[in-house]
Amino acid sequence: MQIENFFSLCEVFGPAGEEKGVFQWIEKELSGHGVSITYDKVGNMHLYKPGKKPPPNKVLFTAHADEVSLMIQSADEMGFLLFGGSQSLTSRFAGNMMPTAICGKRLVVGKNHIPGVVCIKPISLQSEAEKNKPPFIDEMRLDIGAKTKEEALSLCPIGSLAIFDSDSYSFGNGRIKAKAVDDRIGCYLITEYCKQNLPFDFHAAILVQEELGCRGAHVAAYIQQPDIAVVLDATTAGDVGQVSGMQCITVQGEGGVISYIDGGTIYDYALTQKAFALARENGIKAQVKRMATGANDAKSIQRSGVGVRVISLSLPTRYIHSSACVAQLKDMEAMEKMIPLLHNQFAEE
Amino acid sequence: MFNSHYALMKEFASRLSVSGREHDFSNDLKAWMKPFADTVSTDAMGNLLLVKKTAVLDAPRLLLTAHMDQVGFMVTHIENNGYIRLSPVGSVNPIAYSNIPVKFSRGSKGILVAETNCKPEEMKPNKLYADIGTISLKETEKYVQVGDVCAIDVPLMKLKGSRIAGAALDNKASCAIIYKIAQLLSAEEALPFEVGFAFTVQEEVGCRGSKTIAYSFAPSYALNFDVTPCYDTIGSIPGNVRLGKGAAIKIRDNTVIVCKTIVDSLEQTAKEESIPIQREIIASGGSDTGVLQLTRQGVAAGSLSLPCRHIHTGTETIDSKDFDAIVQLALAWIMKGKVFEFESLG
Repeated sequence: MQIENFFSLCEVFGPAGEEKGVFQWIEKELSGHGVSITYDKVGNMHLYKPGKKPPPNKVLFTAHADEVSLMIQSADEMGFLLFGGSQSLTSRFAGNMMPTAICGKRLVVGKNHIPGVVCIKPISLQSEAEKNKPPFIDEMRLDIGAKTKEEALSLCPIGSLAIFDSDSYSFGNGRIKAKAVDDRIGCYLITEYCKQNLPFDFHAAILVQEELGCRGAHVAAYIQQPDIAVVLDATTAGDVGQVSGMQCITVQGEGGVISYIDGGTIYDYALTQKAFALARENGIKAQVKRMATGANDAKSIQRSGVGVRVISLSLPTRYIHSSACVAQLKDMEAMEKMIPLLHNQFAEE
Repeated sequence: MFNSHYALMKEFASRLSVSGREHDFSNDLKAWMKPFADTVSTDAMGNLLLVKKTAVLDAPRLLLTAHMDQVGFMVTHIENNGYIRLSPVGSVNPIAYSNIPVKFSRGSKGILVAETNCKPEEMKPNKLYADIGTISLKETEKYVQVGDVCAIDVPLMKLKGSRIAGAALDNKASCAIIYKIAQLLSAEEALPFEVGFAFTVQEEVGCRGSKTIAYSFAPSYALNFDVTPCYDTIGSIPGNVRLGKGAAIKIRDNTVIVCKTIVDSLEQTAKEESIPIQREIIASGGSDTGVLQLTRQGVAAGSLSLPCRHIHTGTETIDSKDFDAIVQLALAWIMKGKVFEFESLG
């Protein structure tokens, strides 16, 4: 893995609904590699690279381009932007984000990258009750330094999308920190695989709006009608303090996650077992998901058209959906090694 | 080959078919149903479809569906001391699943127990774990592996009168209903419909399987067969459906409002044939019916439901009289053929 290149992809502005930057990055990477690229009506990117021969089975690899994001809804008279609607702990427009992961963070808004800081009432003005609960999204404001409502909304019109403003770096023993690892890792691995000479024709789709409920995947799967889909994504690693055993969900350093079940999908049993067998035979680490939590594009793809056999391969990621996702390099490398094995095996399954 | 409804249901209910692992039951069903159909197929999700053709030219397609999966648990982690950790599959009630015998997909028997000192009010499905008598991770893995499933292991039993109780009657009882219908239709060569018999997967986790099989078959009409809760138990909320009072004709559930033409034609058929019926309105919960209705450009979909007490427990209870009423009504309705007119559809 060329980690600096991966970091540059993580840093691209790509909120759900405005994924163009990610597609431009991929197009640039793949120019001259003989990959044909098309887009469908909801904005999914479809990649096709001819291999030495067409496979008996059409296998579709997917990743999603979007990252968790917030939508600007209004501004107050003092020029602070509002980005939450309901009295809920998670914003309706944020994908599944913890309010505590947003509070106090730097954001950038829209394609002009207007910087701002998320603020709440100072601690000295908070009641005891307010101090002892996480803030609601609609108690927060985004301070972009504007003085009036008009100024704020002229810089960041209603409907603008905001993402974390966060840098990327390596640290510790083979770990990395970046925003949007969910799911730039999938986009990166597909892009890299497209650069190789392949034994079989290769189909992939880079999907939009996964974080809002796997929306792009519906359309892409219907268009592609694959026999088998391999969903590359990132998933929760809960191997942090105070958590152990089953509740870790996944652990870092044990390879890519191949789930039997999650909150949205019961994966194809035969394919899942085959994937674990391939990992074992080739000495590549792989692990199961220990609890049926979370969901990914597989749930939309599996039930599309006449049905699709699905499996997923995910990167165990700590602090997912925050400005500081943490992953391990060797888990990414384990996933990278699995991709050609899965493609070749499933093409002839 | 099955002497009675009870024998049929007992055979069906003894098969383990937790959502996503319906394969074994599906294979058996395929063998049992094959004599009654012209074609057999399975799709990518594992749905089983059998089609009975007709000599009638341009006959519309009718799809009869019942889900073949049951609620249960999937093994997602094994502890070093051999205990088995599980994730619920479908809507499982922890009261019903505490301290009961279970069977696993590779054949092992075990017990499902609650974490020691778990207070009743704190009971949740993730407080349950299984013990098969093994003492280490390595030993457990010989019999049970991550990705395997388990479900309540309680045999069917006869209660007084025509009542039957046990596990997995949701929805093995309806699979048995479709089996009976197919058997009774098998001699007919000129049915007014080309009839598809679909046994769907993964209903208990959100009506997932019916979507793809309905898309492939592209029916004009569809009838779903499933169980429906009774409102005649102690502590029940008010509701219409009573055990033993006849076939329940679905009006609504959380997934669907059944089109009036289907409801009217079923009720009219029941009246003409003197078959006992009751109207079914589920307060909460859904069925494959809603998915069928929204297939492709829209399908006239209804449901004949079997009243069932204590759904998703080891003590699900049905009445054979309701079973008979549903089989009779479905047969009469099918033989009458295209009794409905969809004026608004042109």
